[in-house]
Amino acid sequence: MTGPLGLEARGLTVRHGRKTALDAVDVAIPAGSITGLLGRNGSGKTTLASVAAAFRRPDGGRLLVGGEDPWENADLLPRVLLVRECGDVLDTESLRTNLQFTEECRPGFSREVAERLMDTFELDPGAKPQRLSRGQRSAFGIVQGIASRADLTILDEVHLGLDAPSRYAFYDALLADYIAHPRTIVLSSHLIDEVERLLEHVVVLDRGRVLLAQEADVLTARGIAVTGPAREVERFVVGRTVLGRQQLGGTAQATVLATLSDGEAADARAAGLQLGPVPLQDLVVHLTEDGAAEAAAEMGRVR
Amino acid sequence: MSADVARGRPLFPARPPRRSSPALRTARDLLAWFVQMGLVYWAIVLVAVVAVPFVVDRFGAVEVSIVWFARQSGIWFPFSVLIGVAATYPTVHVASGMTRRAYVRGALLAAVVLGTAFALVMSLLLEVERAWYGAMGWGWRLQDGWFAPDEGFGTVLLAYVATFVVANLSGVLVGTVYGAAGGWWGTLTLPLTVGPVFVVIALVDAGAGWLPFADLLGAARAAELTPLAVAVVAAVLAAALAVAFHLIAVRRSVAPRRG
Amino acid sequence: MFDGRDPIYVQIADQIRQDVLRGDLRPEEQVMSTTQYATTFRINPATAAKAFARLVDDGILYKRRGVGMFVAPGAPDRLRAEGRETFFAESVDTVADRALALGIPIEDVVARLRAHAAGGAERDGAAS
Repeated sequence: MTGPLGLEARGLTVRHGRKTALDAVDVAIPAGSITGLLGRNGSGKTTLASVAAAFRRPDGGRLLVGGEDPWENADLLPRVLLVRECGDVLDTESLRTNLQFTEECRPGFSREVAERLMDTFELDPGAKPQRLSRGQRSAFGIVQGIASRADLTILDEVHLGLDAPSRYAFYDALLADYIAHPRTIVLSSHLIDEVERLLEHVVVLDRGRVLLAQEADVLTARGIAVTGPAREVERFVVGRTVLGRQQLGGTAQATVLATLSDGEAADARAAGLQLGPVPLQDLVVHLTEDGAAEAAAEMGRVR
Repeated sequence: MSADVARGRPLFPARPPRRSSPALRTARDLLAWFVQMGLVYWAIVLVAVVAVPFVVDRFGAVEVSIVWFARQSGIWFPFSVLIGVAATYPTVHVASGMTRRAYVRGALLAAVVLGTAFALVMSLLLEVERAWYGAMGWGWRLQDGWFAPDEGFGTVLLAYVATFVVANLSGVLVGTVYGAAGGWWGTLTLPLTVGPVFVVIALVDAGAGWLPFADLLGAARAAELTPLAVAVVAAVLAAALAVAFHLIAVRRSVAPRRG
Repeated sequence: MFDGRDPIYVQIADQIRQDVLRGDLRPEEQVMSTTQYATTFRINPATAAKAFARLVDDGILYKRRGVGMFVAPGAPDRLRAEGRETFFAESVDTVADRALALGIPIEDVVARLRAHAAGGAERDGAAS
């Protein structure tokens, strides 16, 4: 009764008081994937994760983990882990006690991984969470998140306060342990540039709705940055969905949504245009800007 | 900083992890955390119980039990600790992949075990104190309550168990209402959530006078029936507190800590 | 690395093609596993697997069950044949167009190519 757990939401609605955090969301996260859960602050990422980990119940619709409702599901919940940025730990107990507590709750827990990562992040097992810096708290969340080996592991902004070397140590540890013990990993992060290559699948939320849910490769291949003489760029973008535009003197760059045939690409190059990739980060920024909903809808139709 | 020093101790004990049921594990963990604070509490109580009679003896006559006075601290100390536990621990519990049901069962078990343990220790202390006062030639009686000086160990224990268990369940409920519904509701519902503790304290202090139909039964019979009546009332109140705690705690959301 | 305009799996596949063409990977030589590739380059293993699957489909690599992936015997020849076609279509034709636009006689271009190729051969000789 183990193995990666997928996630599926149908008409999922969650309200925080008068504010609608998730508005009839339909989304699926494939079992066994590393999925990026992206979006601006307040887009509903943490709320979605909270329902998946049974931190709260939805107000409407449903969310299934591995085909089951996680709420009060004693068999399922030990296999579902949400590590929040704030860290849900026993504040008055040492990290050592906290890890032993986690170990008893998590059937897949690995002592070796925990020991190794405590060393990697230079965490003192005798320290209490209250005394830790922001970065150390994040690091401890990462230790728990990876060592627990939960079949659905959701890491919500766990990199906050970590310096770059520590973040890369986190990515390496996550990837290595994911390969050794396949599971579903949902990674929520604002550092899209850094995590982009780790992702197989991407879900973009915006204001409580799903903008996109696609394979990362497909998504990045859909965005093209066109650079060249302003006149040629203008001609190229006619009839295409433009996400963003920049101009410096006679040179312009436009970010468009398009899948070009080889012929179209050759024509563009012949016209003196350079075609470049659009980093996922830029794509998400453009798509979640005000008034970009239609572009996102167009993007979502192409799967 | 002290990482290297701390490394000397292994991160995990040599034994494999315990795999008990989540409810039992919760009860065990809650009690284990309580013991750390409880030891300090009992140390303070012991010092007071031993020191106060000597002080009183210097200025007057020792007549009443100090241990019996200490029962107020035995009510309110675990009560306040349990408020804190019930307000904060469920978040960690749920985040660790356990159900709210398991938490409710574990917390109820811990509250009852804790109350019973406190009652046993207090009753034994009372007996020891009584023997000690006798040896010193001091007078010994319980200032309030239906207890005559020669009241049996069982009756005293019953009074303690009734008081402590109801107080502990009340603490758990108060913390849960504050944690789940916020300060306003937590405060507004205090008469309901803490009221039962005062009821039990009042009954224990009131002796046999509160029993209905006491006149019909006759004074002797009424005194005989009082312990049973206290037990019944305490059991009903405890059950009500436990049900309220269960109903709120199994629905409770783990609130986002920010926005 | 991997900052071109194509999806990462295309770039990975291209890079292995280059390795085979240059002889850094020889026929029947075992290539890195997808998991080694993923951890080494900090890439999702599914992405790496996609690249390798593409190379298997194209006959550049082949799988030995339970052992790993190997360079196919005819891979260099196949790549050279494919490369020749795209080289003329993408590089030579472009150079010819540009030369024409700039008014450079094709003979000059050919002479430059010869000189460059000779220099390249010398550089290779000095390196080995």
